[in-house]
Amino acid sequence: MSKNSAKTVINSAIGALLGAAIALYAYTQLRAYDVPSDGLAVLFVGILYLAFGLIVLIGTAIPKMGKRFLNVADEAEVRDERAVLLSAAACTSLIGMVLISLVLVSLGLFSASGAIVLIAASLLASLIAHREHRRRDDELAKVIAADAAAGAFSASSAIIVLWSLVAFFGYVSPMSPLALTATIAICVLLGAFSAAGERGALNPQ
Amino acid sequence: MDNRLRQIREAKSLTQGELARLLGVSRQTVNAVETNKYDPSLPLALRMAKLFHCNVTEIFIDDWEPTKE
Repeated sequence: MSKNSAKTVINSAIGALLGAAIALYAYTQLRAYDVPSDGLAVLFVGILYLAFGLIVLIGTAIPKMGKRFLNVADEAEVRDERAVLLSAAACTSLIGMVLISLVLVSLGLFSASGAIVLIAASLLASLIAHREHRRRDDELAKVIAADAAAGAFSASSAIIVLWSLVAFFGYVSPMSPLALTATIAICVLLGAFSAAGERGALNPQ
Repeated sequence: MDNRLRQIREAKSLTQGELARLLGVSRQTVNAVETNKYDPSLPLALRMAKLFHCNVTEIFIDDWEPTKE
């Protein structure tokens, strides 16, 4: 195994353990509230988004640390890519917060108006992040975005259509709004990671 | 597609970041091309050839041969 591959495996393992620990903690805290399974799915995906967003945010704010786990050559690159990294991190964190807030609203622990404000903020952050990426006009970024969108669409449509067909024949309940949201959100995340990984954009430099 | 971009870049003592700036792309794009994870667009391949004063076929290696009728 090469040094870079080992570093990727170690970073992934640390990230997975951290994510699992946070998810487990959140689960134990919310167990008393009898969260339904679709709520747990949204919560899990929301924590993943929030964790990834915060990791990129910390890496961008502290370039010395960021060069270790962001796909950059050195600290200078973290500073050069600051606008793109910050907009992406803010966008990802806000989506995570929106997903978590939906579960909290369903449990009566957060106001619906607060969740709507978060949704509006995440839409605004998404538009800013989209504009930053378009402004750079980098061909690899465009290819990864197209691959990610295609992967996310294929995966989510397959799951949603199959589920709907099985529900049509009465074997399961139709997908709830929360389950639909969780499905699309996790497919977008997996599509992005899969596309970036295929193009070598997850390998440390 | 196999290519000699890394060798040619290093022969010119350029870093990935410096080459990326000269080509107007991100360093990740240069890295992805060098590691055969991404085949560049025709305009970018032509820009690379122009920058290194060589033909595209000297950078990118394609073993394809037309079949004889």
